[in-house]
Formats: sequence, C-alpha cells, structure tokens
Amino acid sequence: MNTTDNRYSRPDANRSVHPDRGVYFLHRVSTGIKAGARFSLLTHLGTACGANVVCAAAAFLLTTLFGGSVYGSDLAGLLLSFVIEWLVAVFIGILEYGRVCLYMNMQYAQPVLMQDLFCGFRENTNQIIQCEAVAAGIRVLLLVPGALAALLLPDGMAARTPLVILLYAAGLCGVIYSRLVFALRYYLLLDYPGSSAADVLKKSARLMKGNRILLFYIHLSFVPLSALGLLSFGIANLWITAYRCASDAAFYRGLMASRQ
Amino acid sequence: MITQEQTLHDESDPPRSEAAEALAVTATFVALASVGASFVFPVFVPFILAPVAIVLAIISKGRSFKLSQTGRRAVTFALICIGVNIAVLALTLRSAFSLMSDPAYHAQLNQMTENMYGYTFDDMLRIIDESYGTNLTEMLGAEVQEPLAGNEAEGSL
Repeated sequence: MNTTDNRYSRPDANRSVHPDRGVYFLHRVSTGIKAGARFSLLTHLGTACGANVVCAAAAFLLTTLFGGSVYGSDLAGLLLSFVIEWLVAVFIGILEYGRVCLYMNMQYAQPVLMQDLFCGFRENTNQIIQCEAVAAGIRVLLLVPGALAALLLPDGMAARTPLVILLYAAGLCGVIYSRLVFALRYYLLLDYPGSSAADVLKKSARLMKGNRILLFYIHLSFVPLSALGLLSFGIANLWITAYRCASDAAFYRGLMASRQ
Repeated sequence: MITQEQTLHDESDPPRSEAAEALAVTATFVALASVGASFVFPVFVPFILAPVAIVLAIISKGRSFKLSQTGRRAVTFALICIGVNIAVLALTLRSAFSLMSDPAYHAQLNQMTENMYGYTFDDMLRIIDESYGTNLTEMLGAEVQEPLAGNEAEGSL
C-alpha cells in the first residue's frame, strides 16, 4: 500500500516529534485526540447518534434472532452458538465499516450522510467480510477454551472454578489485544480502497505497534463515562459511543499524520 | 509513535463555536429538566436525563479543554440532581427495610397482600427465593411473624 495516495490522510505540516513517554504523555495525547473528536462531533451529533442507534438495533436484532435461539447446554449447542456469534459479527462488520466511514467524514470535514452507514454493502464488501471473518474468528476462538472448560469439566473437580476463570480471563485479555491490533482495519480499508484483506490486517497490526497502549488508554478513559451511561439505563451510551467512535477516528487521523 | 502535536492538541483555548455553545445550552436544559423531573418522577427520569446532560456538556467543550460557563452549569445541575436522587433512593430503601423489620407493619402487610392476592407477602418472597435462588426472605426479615401468629391463635380460639 502506498501511503501517499490515500483517500483521507494528508500531511499535517510542521509537526515535530516528542519522544517522551509515560502516563502523563499518554494523558496529554489522548486529551488532544478527544478534543479533536469532540470538535468533529459538534455539528453532526444527531447523525452520529442515529448511526449508533441503527448499529445497536441491528446487532440486538441479529443476536436475539439467531443467537438467542441456541444455548450452549451441550457441546454441539455451544459450538453452534459460537458459529452464530461469529456470523453475526461478520455481518455487523459491514455496518461497522459504514459507521467508520461516517466518523471519518466527520473527522475530515467532508459531507456526512446517514446513507454512508450502508456504504459497506456497496464498496469493499468482500474485503470487509474477509477482514471481519479473521478478526471475529480470532475473538471467538479465544473464548472457546473457557466455555469448553465450563461445559466439559466435572462439577466435583476442585480446580474447575479457578481453571474456568483463568481460561476466561486469558481469553478476554486475548480479545482485548486482538481488538487493539486490528482496530484500524476499517479505517485502512476506507483510506486505501481495493486493498486486500490480508494487506489491511497486516498494515493495521504494523501501525498499531507502539500505539496499542495509547488506544487502550483512550478506551480506558471512557470507563467513567460508561459508568454514567449505566446509571442512565444505557440511554446516555448513545452519545458516549458517538464520542468514543469519534475518538477512534481522531486517533487514526493523528496516527496517519504522525507517519507523514 | 503518535505524538501530542499530531493529535490537534493545542495549549491555547480556541474560541468556542456557535454549535458548541448551542450544545452547552441544550445540556443545561436537559440538566434543568432532570432537576424538575426529580420532583415529579423521582429517581428514574433524573437518572436518565442527568447523565445525558453531563455527556452533552462534555461534548460541548469541542476543541477546548475546559467547560464553558454554560456547560459547567449543566454539569453542576446534573451532578446535584444525581446526588439528590441517589440520596432519595437510599432513604426510600432504608425506610422500606426498617418498616419491614417492624413486626406490626409486617403483619399488616402480610394481611393486606393475602386479602389482595391470596398469598401473604412472606409467601411471595419465599416463591421468589425458590424460583431465582435469591435470599429476600432473610434480607427483608420475613421470619418476623409473631403478631400474625398471635392473631391466628386468637382466631382459632
């Protein structure tokens, strides 16, 4: 992939590099990223929230319709529920791509239209499906050992509960890591249309090297707001999700600017 | 590695846009609505509106790193509202628990629910405990049944 002919990223002149590190540095950078995110949201908050409602409704409907009908009480049911979870994640990925497109347009001050949410059905559909199949596949596979241990180990076994907790915790850590590694897949796909899924995933992993902690810190900084969202029975999460997604887009913008 | 300069981070506080001020005003209205709702529909409606007001006020900062005067007002109203409603909820629960531990009130409640539904309140708690594995019977002191037992004894005589 050539970094000069991308659709969104452009060189931001006179940017010097500060090689300092540490929590204070992370805080300062994340504050800057979130400021950029808030600014991009100011005039498009309604559209952003509308897009979040559509995505959440689609995820809820698909999970309820397909995931809710299968419960992993036996091995076959458990494996089937994982397959369904994977398929739903792949489909939701197409909408997720549209949402990323919407937030990127906000970030780069381009026209923001609600129909952009469905652009994943028109462009790069195969690459989106392939990317999400790999990313969601890894996430689901990481959670399989914990679920299998909970199902298959005998109830009387002394080490059952600690083992199940350990496997689930390890799986969860793996899921967070894989989410961070492949966090830029849709941004890259949008920025470099026509790239193969493998290229996009490799480039995402390469770009995130050295920046995973920062993205993790940014996501962690939303925990207090999410707690507030919980207090509002999840309703405030509509705006919090918009803020978080806009921060992701601002993170990508900052990252691409730092490379040019 | 991404750097501070590449994230639009600017030490100076940029002028606020009209959109930011409009959003801050909206946040203040939502916060005031949550304060008003505290008197009409306490707990539930304020718990929805106040966090929304806080989030809107935070977004209204835009590129700035500080809340505007209006945004600060919205956050203050919303936080006060949340605090007051948490206090109201805590006091209500405390009153309910203390009333449940009053044997006379407990007996009256049992009698009332039996007249209305055919089950005493303690029966209901026991059914819930058996169905969902909860421990409400012990939590709400449903064992305190002396006055009711006394009434039954009087009735049988």
